[in-house]
Amino acid sequence: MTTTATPTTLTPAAENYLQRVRKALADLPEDEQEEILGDVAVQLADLAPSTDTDLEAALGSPEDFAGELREAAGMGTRPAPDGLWAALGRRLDEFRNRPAVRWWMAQWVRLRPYWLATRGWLLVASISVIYNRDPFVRFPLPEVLDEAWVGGAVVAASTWLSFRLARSPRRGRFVDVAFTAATLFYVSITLSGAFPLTQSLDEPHGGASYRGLLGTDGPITNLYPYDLDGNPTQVLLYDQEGRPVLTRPELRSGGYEPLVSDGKLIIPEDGGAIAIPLDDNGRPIPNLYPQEERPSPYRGAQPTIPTTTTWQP
Amino acid sequence: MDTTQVLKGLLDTAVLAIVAREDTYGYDIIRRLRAAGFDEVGEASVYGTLRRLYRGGYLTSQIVPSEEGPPRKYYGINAAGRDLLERSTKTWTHLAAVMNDLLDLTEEAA
Repeated sequence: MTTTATPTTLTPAAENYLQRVRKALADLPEDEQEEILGDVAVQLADLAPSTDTDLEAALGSPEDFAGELREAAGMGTRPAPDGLWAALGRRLDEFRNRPAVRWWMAQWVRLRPYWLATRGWLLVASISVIYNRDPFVRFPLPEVLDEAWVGGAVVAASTWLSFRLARSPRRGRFVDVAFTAATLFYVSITLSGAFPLTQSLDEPHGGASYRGLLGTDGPITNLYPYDLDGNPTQVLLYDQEGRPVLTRPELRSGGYEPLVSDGKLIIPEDGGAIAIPLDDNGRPIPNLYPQEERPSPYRGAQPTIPTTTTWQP
Repeated sequence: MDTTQVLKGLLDTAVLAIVAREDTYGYDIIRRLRAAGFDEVGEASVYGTLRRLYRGGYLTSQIVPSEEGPPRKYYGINAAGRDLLERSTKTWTHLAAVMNDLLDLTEEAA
């Protein structure tokens, strides 16, 4: 009596080797394949306890290994299949057996665990970038549902799934490929900046990092207030934390030499100047004190409406 | 002299001889063959030989849990295997004697 003994603790390199042997024996009955691969897998588990073992150097290429095994088992050589796919498969095998390609494949096998871990994180992080305005406030944990701990849990689950899928048998390979495709898809969208789902009051034009006031047609660079009779007038504008709203970029960047007169900050504007009251320390006096307000997640571009307003004369 | 080709002809007997001592698994058979002096024996050849002998009805197999790793498939010899080993041993003993005689004659002539 016999049953197949297939170890579950193969390294990625050993798993890759075993899959290639399986492919080279694909024409044999499935139970025969499983019997043979069960034996080989045990040796691979013993032979490759770490990812540094070069299995091809120790055992030869998987295709040669399968050929030698067939000969010793009296199973004959593998019939050469006909057709375009078979020809492409042979070309691919020849390509894989080139020394340079084998060297690169060995490096890839060595780095694959790191890629699998990164893949799990990348998928969650890139989706988080797309659906959140600023998901990397708590880097490296992306925020999910506005919570970093949820993001951490989802990253852990995604990373586990990434490793699990990488070990899936032949029939589950397409799920593994789909996982990679989804990751690359979201990453490419994130890198391209073309994620309309993130459109917000701050970033309506494809993710540009513009932080000023925005109108429906683009950035607002100045404001011209008029009274109800249509006459130009002057007002002081303050943001939600009581800071003066300045429409001159150089004033924000510090490239402006402030002119203080009579306890007020004089700012030249088109057609005149405006004066902002200063306190004893020379700072603009806020006229609107901070309110209980937090940034909106910007889903649907709905800013949070202040609940309380306190005016300071 | 290509020892690989000679070894292929002897591998069945060598494998049967190892399994006849005690039940064991493929990788251990390879190690024992190498320890005995068959340095060039290929892993794939041993696994193929085991499959052929098993399918030919000369070996039994069973899965045995291992404390050091995954479960291993242990091969054992049965009556048909012992009979084949006995016949192979006689053939080898005869051939070895003939070869030794031939080589002794050659050395004496030299």
